[in-house]
Amino acid sequence: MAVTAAAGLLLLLLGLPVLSLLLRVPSGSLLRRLSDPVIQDALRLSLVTSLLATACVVLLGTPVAYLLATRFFRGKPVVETVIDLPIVLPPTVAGLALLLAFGRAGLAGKALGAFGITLPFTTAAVVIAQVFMSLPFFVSSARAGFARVPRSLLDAASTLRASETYTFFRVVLPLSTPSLIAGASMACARALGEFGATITFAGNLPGITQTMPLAVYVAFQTDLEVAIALSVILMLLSFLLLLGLRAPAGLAERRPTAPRFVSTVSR
Amino acid sequence: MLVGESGSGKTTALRLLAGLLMPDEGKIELDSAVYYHSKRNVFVPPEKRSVGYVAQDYALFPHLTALENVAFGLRASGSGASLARRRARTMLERLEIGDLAARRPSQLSGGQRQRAALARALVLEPRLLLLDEPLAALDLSTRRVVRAELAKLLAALPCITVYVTHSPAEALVFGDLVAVMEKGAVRQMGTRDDLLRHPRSQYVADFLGLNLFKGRVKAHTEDGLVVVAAEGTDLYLAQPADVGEAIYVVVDPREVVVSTEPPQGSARNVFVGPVEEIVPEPPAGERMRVSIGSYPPLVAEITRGSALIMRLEPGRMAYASFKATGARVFR
Repeated sequence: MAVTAAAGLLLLLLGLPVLSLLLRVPSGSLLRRLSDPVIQDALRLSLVTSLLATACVVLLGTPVAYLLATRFFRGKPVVETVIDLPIVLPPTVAGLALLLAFGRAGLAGKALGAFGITLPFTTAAVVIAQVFMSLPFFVSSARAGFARVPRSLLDAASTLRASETYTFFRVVLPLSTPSLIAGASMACARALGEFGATITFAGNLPGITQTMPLAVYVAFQTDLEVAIALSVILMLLSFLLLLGLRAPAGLAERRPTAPRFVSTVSR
Repeated sequence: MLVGESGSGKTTALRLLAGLLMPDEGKIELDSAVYYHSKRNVFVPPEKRSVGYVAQDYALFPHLTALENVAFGLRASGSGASLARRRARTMLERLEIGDLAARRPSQLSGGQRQRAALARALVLEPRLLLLDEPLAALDLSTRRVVRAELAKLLAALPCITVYVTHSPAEALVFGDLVAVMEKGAVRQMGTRDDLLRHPRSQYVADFLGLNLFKGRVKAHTEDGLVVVAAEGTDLYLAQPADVGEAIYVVVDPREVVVSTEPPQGSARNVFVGPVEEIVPEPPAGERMRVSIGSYPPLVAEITRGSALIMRLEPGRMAYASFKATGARVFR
């Protein structure tokens, strides 16, 4: 009884705000709002940057996750902690740190400046902030996926004269695809919702660095209707991403049980 | 043939040979190739050894078809796709599972999976083939069929095979050379007769202590039993076998009943002879191992209580009998 009550309360707490947002959309105005150039710019920028960020996260995160899953080295706990830090770090702190590193006077910023590259307050800065904040979500999921590949299959591959690289692409990667997709969706959703690090490191320039969450914040102070329209779009995108994430994970959960069940019956 | 109880180090030995584990010291050589030499600091990784390894669970790649599994090693060592597929198909056909090439491991039976794993190892033509309990993953009814087929297959292979099993019967029937392992070391290595007739330690005697007869099926009785001529006597068995077939008959000592009077029951195989030895069976010593000098000699395992009641002692005449259903047949 108490469990049902707790579940009901929780559902209310999570569901009520979502429902309120959906109920406040003036009928028919959502589509009209979509043609608003501010909204269009923010939407396009958000989609482009989060997809770019996800691509970077997958490219950078996959090797790191593989090393963490298969190797032991000195200082590994420190590396793991550094990678996980953005999960708990306040995004504004992360943005400030990025600014201090890549800003004009920053450690890497000075070197980049010598080549005429300035990062802060550019679209590239948005992507970097998103990568920084979403990387740990992908790495932890990918790493768990790599670690779940049975040791016996890796042994088999090596007695079949396969190099580690060959085994990675032919055995490890295909078998952990569901985890990689789940991690990538998670990272993409996180990148899409990124606010604090972006506004601190990349600023709030419409069309250049003003992503959806930033546009919501600005609109909230001027035009509540726009803010609501933007929020609903953002929520639907996040909802679809997370739903898509459930699908492959669900498949992976179901797949191994079926043959196991059959084999116990035949025995 | 490596045989020993679980935990005796059989799988570890195989993994050392395959290169999946690094020894602390010593050397591993195959023909003229040195795979490991602690003094010379040589360690050849598994992918550079001419060694095939079939794990106990077969470790087939679940996301690849049988054909792709077999082609895997060829592709990994640089063969072109079409050549690899062709050779893989030929190997699957040689093992008589060519028609299952397109199936995933989850769609194969235990026996078929074993063949696919064997094909995958054999297609690389290794000099040494390592088999870790190849029958353990199979259920009892398939095991009987697969064992006979596997024996035939292994006999025809050009490579050296190291076969690991925990079953003394399997080891003795299959192996030209049997090594008994205990606590990480080989206790005795020899031919079947060596080990059965001249065990060099109590452990080997106890562990292998089973009754094994080599014989040929002579006839069938009216009540459906098989008559086997073995070691100068006739054995009656319930297992089906064809006349003229050469078989091994294995009788577990627990199936052998000892009595001091002629047995009254339905046992079809009765032998008489003097008690040669009575030793308590580890670990608790509640059971006794009785060797009877009948012709052929038999070993029985009975409880301490019945040994006391019958007042069994060395030299006393006793009957050893077992039922027609109490014997197993190996081919």
